[in-house]
Amino acid sequence: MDALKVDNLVKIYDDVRVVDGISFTVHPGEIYGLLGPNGAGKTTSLEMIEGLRTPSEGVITVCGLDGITQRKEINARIGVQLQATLLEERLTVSESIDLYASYYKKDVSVDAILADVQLEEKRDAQQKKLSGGQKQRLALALALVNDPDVLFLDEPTTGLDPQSRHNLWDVVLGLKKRGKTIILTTHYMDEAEQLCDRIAILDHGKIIAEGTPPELVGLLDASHVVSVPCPEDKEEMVKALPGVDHIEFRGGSAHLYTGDVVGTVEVLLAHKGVLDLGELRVHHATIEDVFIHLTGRQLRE
Amino acid sequence: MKSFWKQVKLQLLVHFREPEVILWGFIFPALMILVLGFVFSKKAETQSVGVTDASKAHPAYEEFMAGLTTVEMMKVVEGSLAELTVGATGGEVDIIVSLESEDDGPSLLMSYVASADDPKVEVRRLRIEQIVARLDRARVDARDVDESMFWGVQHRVLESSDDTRVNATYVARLIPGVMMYNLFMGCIFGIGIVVVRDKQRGKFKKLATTPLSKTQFILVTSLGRMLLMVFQVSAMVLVGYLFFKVSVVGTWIELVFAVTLSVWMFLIFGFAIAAVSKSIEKAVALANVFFVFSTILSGAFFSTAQMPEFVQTLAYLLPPTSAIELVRGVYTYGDSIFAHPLPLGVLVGWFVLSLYLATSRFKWHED
Repeated sequence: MDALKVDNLVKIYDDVRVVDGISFTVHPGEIYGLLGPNGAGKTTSLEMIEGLRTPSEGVITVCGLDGITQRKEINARIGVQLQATLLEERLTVSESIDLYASYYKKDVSVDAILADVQLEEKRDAQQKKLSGGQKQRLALALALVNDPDVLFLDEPTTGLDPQSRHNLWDVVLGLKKRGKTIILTTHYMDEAEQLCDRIAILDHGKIIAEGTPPELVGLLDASHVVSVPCPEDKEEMVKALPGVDHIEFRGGSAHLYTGDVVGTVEVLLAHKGVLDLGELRVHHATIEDVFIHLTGRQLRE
Repeated sequence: MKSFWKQVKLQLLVHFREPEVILWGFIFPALMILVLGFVFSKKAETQSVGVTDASKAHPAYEEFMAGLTTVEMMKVVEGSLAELTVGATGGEVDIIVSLESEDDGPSLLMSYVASADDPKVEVRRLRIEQIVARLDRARVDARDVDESMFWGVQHRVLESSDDTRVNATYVARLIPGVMMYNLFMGCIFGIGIVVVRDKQRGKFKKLATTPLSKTQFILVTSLGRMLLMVFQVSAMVLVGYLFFKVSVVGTWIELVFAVTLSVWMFLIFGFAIAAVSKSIEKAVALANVFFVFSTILSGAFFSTAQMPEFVQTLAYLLPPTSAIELVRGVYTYGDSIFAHPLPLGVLVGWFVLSLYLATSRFKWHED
C-alpha cells in the first residue's frame, strides 16, 4: 500500500490555479521531496494533503485512507511540521511534547523523542529560550509524538544557519533509517539532493519533472556545466563552439552544458584571447541546473 | 480523561507563568476594589434624599425643596415611590420623603427608610424634621399662624425591605460587581481577541493536524482559564474581608455555583466572539460594544435603579448584568440562587447560545 497517493490535485484562489492538477505517489519508507521556488505551490499542496486546506479538485489518499472523509483517522497516523510552529512560549520542551502527546492515543516516551531530535539537554528550557534550530527540532519532535507512519516537513530548514541545517538533516536521515515515510518541501536543491529518494520539481503549481536525483540530472544529457564570463557581443561566437549540448546566457556569463568537460574546456582555451578564462568555473550538473534548464529561471528567483 | 486533565493542567501552568496575569488578573482588580471601596465609603456620609414625584403637587413643594438644598451633604433624587423604594432597598437612597396633605388640611410629611436598625436613621429623620420645622417657623415669622395647619411628620419603614439588603455596604455590593465585570472583560478581550489574533498568526494550524477536536480544545482552554479565575475570585473575596470586613453572606456552595456558571459562560462567550470574527478588527469591535454597554449598564459600580425601565430591561440581557445580580445576591445579600430565576435563565441562555456559536463556527484557521 502506498504511503501517499495524490491524484489530479487542484487548488483555485480567485480564479488562479495555485496548484494545477498535480499527481504523485510516495512509497513506504521513502523520502519524497517537493522542490520549487517560492510561490510554486509546494506549501499549498502539502497543506491540502495535511487537511489544512480544502482541495478544489482531486483525490488524496494517505495510508489507504481518504483525505477528506477519513481525516480524523489520518491525523492520528501522520506527523506534521509546519513551516512555522507557534507554541506556548512558557511551556518547557518536555511539557510541550507531553501536551501534544496527550492529543493522541499512542503512549510515547518523551525521553526517546528528545533523543531522536537531539534536544535532551534542553528538556527543561522554555520555548522562548531556544535558538532557531532548536525550535525547529522541537517542532519536529512534536510531529513525532504519535510515532507517525507518514511525516510531513514543510521547509524544515528555512532560516537556519548551515550548522543547524546539517543537524536537522542528520535527524531526518535518522528517521528514514527507522523506516519513516517522509514528504518534505524545500527550495534548497542541496537539501533535496542530500535527503530525498525522489523529487518532484514544482513550478507555477505544476510538477514539471519527477524522479530520483540522478534521473533528474539525467534529463540534461550533460554531466557538467562550464561557466565563463561572456559579453553580449561574444554570444554568437560561444554558440558556435563545438561539443556543447546546450548553452544558457544569464548574469553576464555563458553556461555550457556538456558531457565532455575536458573537450569543452580545451575549446575554450583555444579562445583565451577573446574570453576571460580567469573566471572559468566547472561543476557537476545539479538539480538547480535542471530547474533552470526546464524553466529558464533560478530556484531562488 | 487523563489526557484531558493533563491539557487543562498545562493550560493553567501557562497562565501562571505569565507575569502579566498576576498584574492584571490579581493586583489590578484588587486595587480597583480598594480604591473604589475607600473613596465611596467616605462619600457615603452624604445623604441621599428621595423625593416622590407625587410631592410636586403639594403647595409647599418649592419651599420644601429650597429648604432641602440649603442642607449640606444632602443629595436629592426624584422619582416615583416605587423607583425610590428600589433605590432605598439597594442602598442608593438613604431616606424617602413624600409631601402629602388632606384637602385644606394640615401638611403631612411621610418619611420612609429601608431599615429602622440602621444607626444613622435617627439622624436622617432629624434632619428632615428640621427642614419642616424651619418651614413652620417661616410661617410664624410671616404671622401666618394657624397651629392646626403646622406640618405633621410620620416616619415609616418600607415593608419590602429586609435588614440584610439594607445593611449591605457599598463595598459589599462593589466586590461582586468588580469581580464579575473584571472577569467578563478578561474573557471578551483575553479570549475573544487573543484567539482571533492567534488564529491569524497560525497558532492553531498545528492543532488542526492532530486528532484534537475543536470542542475539546474550547473546553480545555476554558477550563484552564476558569481555574485561574477561581484564584482571582478568591483573591478578591479575601481583599474584601481583610480591608473592609466584608464576608460572604450566602452559602459558599451557592457562591461557587454562581461564579462558576458566570465565568464559564463568559469564557464560552469569548470563544463565540472569536468564532464569529474573521478579523481582529471585528473581534475588537464586538468586544468594545459589550465593553461599553457593560460598563454603563451592568451595575458593577453603580446601581441602574434610576435608569429608565426599558434600559434596565435591556441591561438584564447583557451577560455581566445577570452574573453580577446572581453573584451579588448570594455574596452580598445571602439569597439563594433560585431567588434570581431571571438572571439564572439569562446566563444559561447566553451559555447555550455561545456554546453553539463557538463549537459550530470556530475554525482553526482560514482556508
